[in-house]
Amino acid sequence: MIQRRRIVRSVVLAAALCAALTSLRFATPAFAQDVGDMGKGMDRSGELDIRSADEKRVFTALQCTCGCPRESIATCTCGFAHDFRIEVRAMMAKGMTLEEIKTEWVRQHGPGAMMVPTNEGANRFLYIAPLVMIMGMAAFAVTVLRRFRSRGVSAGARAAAATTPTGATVDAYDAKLDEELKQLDDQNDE
Amino acid sequence: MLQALQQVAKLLPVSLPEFGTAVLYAILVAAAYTFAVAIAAGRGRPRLLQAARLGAIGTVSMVGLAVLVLAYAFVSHDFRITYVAHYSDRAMSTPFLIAALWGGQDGSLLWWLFLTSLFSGACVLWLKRKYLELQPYVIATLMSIILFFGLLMVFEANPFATSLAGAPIEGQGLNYQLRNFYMIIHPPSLYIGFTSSAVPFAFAVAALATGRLDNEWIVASRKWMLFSWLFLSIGNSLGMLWAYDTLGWGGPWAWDPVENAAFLPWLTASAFLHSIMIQERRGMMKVWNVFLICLTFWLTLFGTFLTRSGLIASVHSFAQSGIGIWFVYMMGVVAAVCIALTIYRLPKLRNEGELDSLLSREAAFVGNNWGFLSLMVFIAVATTWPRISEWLLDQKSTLGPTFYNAWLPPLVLTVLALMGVAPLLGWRKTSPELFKKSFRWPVLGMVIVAVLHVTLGKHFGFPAFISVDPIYPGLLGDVLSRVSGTYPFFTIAIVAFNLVVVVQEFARGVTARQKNAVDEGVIGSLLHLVAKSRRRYGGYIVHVGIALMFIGFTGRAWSVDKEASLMPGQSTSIEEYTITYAGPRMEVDSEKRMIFADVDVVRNGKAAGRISPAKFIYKTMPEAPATIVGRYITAKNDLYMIIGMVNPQSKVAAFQIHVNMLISFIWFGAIVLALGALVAMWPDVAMEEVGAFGYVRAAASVTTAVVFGLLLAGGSAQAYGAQPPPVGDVVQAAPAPLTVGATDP
Repeated sequence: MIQRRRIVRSVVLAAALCAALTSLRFATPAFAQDVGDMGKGMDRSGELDIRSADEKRVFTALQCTCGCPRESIATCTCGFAHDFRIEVRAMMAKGMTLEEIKTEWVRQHGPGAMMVPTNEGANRFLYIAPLVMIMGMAAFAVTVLRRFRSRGVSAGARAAAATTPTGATVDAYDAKLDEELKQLDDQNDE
Repeated sequence: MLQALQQVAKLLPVSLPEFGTAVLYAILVAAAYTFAVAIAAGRGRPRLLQAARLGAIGTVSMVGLAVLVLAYAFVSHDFRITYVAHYSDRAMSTPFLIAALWGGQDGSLLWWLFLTSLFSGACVLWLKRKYLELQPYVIATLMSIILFFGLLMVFEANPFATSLAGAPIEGQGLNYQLRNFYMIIHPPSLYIGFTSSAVPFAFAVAALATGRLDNEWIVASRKWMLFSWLFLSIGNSLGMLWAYDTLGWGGPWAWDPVENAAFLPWLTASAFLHSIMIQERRGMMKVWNVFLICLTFWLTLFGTFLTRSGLIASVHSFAQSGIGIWFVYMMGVVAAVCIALTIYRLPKLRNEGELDSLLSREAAFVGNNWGFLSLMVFIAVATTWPRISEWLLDQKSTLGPTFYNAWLPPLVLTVLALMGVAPLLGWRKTSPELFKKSFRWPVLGMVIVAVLHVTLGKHFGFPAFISVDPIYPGLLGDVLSRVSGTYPFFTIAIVAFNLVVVVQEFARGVTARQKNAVDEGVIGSLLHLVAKSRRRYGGYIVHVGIALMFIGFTGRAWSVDKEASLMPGQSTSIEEYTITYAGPRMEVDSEKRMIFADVDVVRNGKAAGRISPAKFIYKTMPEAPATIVGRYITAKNDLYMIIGMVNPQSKVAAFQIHVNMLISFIWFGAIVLALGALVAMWPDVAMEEVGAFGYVRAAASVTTAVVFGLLLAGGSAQAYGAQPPPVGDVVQAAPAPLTVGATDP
């Protein structure tokens, strides 16, 4: 009876997962982007022309919108990036701060043109979500360890029996080496 | 040889493309048959097991035939096949013609299928009379994977497809970025890592399906997983070298989505290789280990999906195609099967052992697993963020390396620290006395290095604390920036801790051995120790390799970049280097014009030689010249030069100059890591281990380690290939200025 319930549970779970993935397919925009053939985005042939550390700092924050994937105007060597650098250099000459330049860049090219999304609104999800998951996993690990531990304490003698290596899978030499190292440590203590 | 093959090809009753497609259909039939027979064998008809084994070998042979047909098509320039016409031309040499097999989407899927089949075949041969209950399901699982790739190729990405327009006279040729020696070896290494993870996955599914969840299947899975992990490590390292040496990024790693996709299964495989020890020793973490095996295989599919679907823009992306949805379904099926089977078998996956103390190696490994999985989660979310952002926020988004470099190091350093801590803790529990004793020397070593780093580091150009620009305005940006400034200090200190731990562990092992074997010298004891306990000491060597690689990664914090436009005869200085531009030089061969900028390097006032960064302009792709990096390599740093533009009239050259600190440690560490993994996986000489797989592992590991070592050590020398021009040499006949051709935004 329990086994049948378990089978039903497994099948329902599997079906739910498949259904979720199928719905994902319909919710997903077209997969294929026009990314060209392998290696096309790697083309690099022009000049960078960065004249100071300040320029580099600003250029590094701004994405090149020429179509090269994930290139900032501090690294992209295409002709568009060259024009962008001239444009941003002019902004710097006017005395605009990095934040003002970023704001202007987003106004011109959209929020996707930043190398790191701005730290506002739903963009925070980018680091909050993984951090929450990581903390959740840490809590889970601690819970599991505590459960293992409390079971170990309460089990008493049974634990001692269970802690021997679980059969032939453990390298016999390794077990012996562990024992010898322990003896060595004990001897040195004496 | 080619002529003989041509004679054989003429005997075919159909054309080569038709024959290739027919072979693909034959693979489908053979895999489906083998799958059905294997399931029947597992469901109470054991006599069919031999049929399943033979069916598997037959399927593998068919896949081998398909690869041979495509390879022959490349070598014989059969441009009727669209794939061949697209990725090769008559000028390409044979090694690159073979490498073109995996240079494009359809062929790389066939190559993928081939490697999966190769490992399936090796696994079937190795199994013989072992794991008889598991065998049918192992074979069925492997066949279902082959079936998936077969279906994918027949219906979506047929490498033997022909064009309605007929065969062109000349092919388009392989992208110049791929005409590189690393292209011949880097993708196959990664593919080997990816595809061989199918075998442990097959064992996990078989164990779950049969309920034989004792430690038997774990032993088999662990060996294959280590093999997979080794090749993922080598593939990723070669990828770094390729990016560094060929793409001209100035560094080896840019957190590109495809780099990340190859890194994710490495993380889960690393977690598994540690947590499996807890199950072997203590009978714990059974569900977790099944989960990690399944997740590693799932991530290889996810990585392929990322690369092939165009979901995320990357420099590695393949051509537009509709295969992404196939992978979504496959990932769904794999996830559903794994979850359903695990839940079904939960009662048999209960822990046998208990945790005696939190101060134990088991607890440290749980921490290490948390670290690896946390890294995996963070990188996976960040990699897919552009799409998540589009779906949830309806806005385009990009994530550059700055983001990863600001957020990830604390996690990475935690894992690095645990790597050193775990070997110092005993299984079950560590007494306070032993704890103090074990940690004494490593902590002392770490403190000494840290103090030296703080006091002397700046003097030698390696300050312990650096200034980092905030990535956000406000408090969060400030905090991240301040914390980032301390990473060099913590990394070097933790690396020192790790190295002392390994030295101490070797010393303890040798001492323990010498107490029992008085007639053994220290070297003899060391060799015997490693030979007898290969897995443990191989693992420690791997730790040394990783620690060395971290020195190389940290070097980026002290690296210096500069841009300079120089006239012939002009000089510029960067760090300890003085660079004098001698002038441009042009060479021509059958497929390209090569424009070198010869640069004389003086280091610390002494002439160090000449390097020649270059631009290669291929006849087939004149609009996209290839960047050839010039490097002067020392243990302390690399002088790394790229030319941006050479003016044909004035001969002025624009250089990007980088002094990359300590970067050679990455390559050296990678070699040490591969050697450590080789020691750990070296097959036992006991009779039960002598078999096809034992030899395959040994031969493949030795060959790969040697080739890998030679590549890393010698590959960099190519930048020195150019000879200085003779006096009075006439420079090029006015090539077009090498400014880039603009592309449509």
